[in-house]
Amino acid sequence: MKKFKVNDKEFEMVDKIEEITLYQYQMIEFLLQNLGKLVDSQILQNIIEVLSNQELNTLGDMESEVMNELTDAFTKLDYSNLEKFKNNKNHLVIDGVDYAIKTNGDFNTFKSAEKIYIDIMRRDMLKYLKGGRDWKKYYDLIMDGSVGKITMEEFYKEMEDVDMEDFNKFLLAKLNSEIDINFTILSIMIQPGTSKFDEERKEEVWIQKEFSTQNLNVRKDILRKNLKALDGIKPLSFFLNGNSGSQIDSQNSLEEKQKQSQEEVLLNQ
Amino acid sequence: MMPPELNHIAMIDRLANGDITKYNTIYLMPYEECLYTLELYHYQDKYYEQLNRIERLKNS
Repeated sequence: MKKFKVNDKEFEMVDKIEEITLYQYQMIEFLLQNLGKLVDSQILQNIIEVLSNQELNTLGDMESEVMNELTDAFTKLDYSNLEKFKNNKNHLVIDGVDYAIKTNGDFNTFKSAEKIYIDIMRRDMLKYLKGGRDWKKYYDLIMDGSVGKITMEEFYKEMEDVDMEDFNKFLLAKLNSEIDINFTILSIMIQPGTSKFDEERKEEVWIQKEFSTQNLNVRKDILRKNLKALDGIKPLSFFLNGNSGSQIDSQNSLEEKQKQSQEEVLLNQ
Repeated sequence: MMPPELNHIAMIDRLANGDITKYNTIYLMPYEECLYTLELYHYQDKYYEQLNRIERLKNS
């Protein structure tokens, strides 16, 4: 950890890639994606705040010398290489508790309740973004894929009427919802477990204890504070790659039924 | 049409044969296994629907 002072108050900033938590990683990703929209120095200040576990825009004015030193430390993190270092652990210990991690090959071990819980949380997140405040237009533009169907010229025309402050609030709400859903997924992918020696594989395997919804929110907070990005990216990537399992397509079966009843009417005539 | 909020309960209810006391057992079953059973129900329903349709057409 790198120590620094702002207004005589001491703070610590992460200066090793292994120490970055998944929460910090996701926040920095968002800040770097918005490089064009915010002032560079503001982004650097925000990155330093994130890496020091402070709320955004709360650290106050920093001396340029300190700022340069911390910016250097961030650059040396080799942050862009994080993808290469991510590991494929099936076990980790947080605060003395053993956690078993579902790995990519474990999709068949998902309990109905676990999958349903993730689906419900995802649906609620989309509902919130769509219905919250006056965000429907942004939702349609950014989330519903309309942005891919229009030209850049049309996009800029649409954005002319947009209040940037309101739009940034939407982006931040979107980010917070995404982070929240990611940790919901992780609270299911990573659960307390016990180890067992597998005679056939000749190795120790970790098995999650019986699923319960009781501690999900507590676990979400524990993971948000403690889960390192290197440990969290892999179990999360399974869901982010779009493999969310299959769902019953009630719309299709409804259409099929309508088609059949139409045929029936024709036959009866 | 059924509200999407009820889709999951409908799925669990079908697997538990309408018996609410069996919901917890289904919740702790592997999801993949439940999906295969639902797929089987889907094809069974389709088959019986076709049979009924043929019967109705015969009688009309």
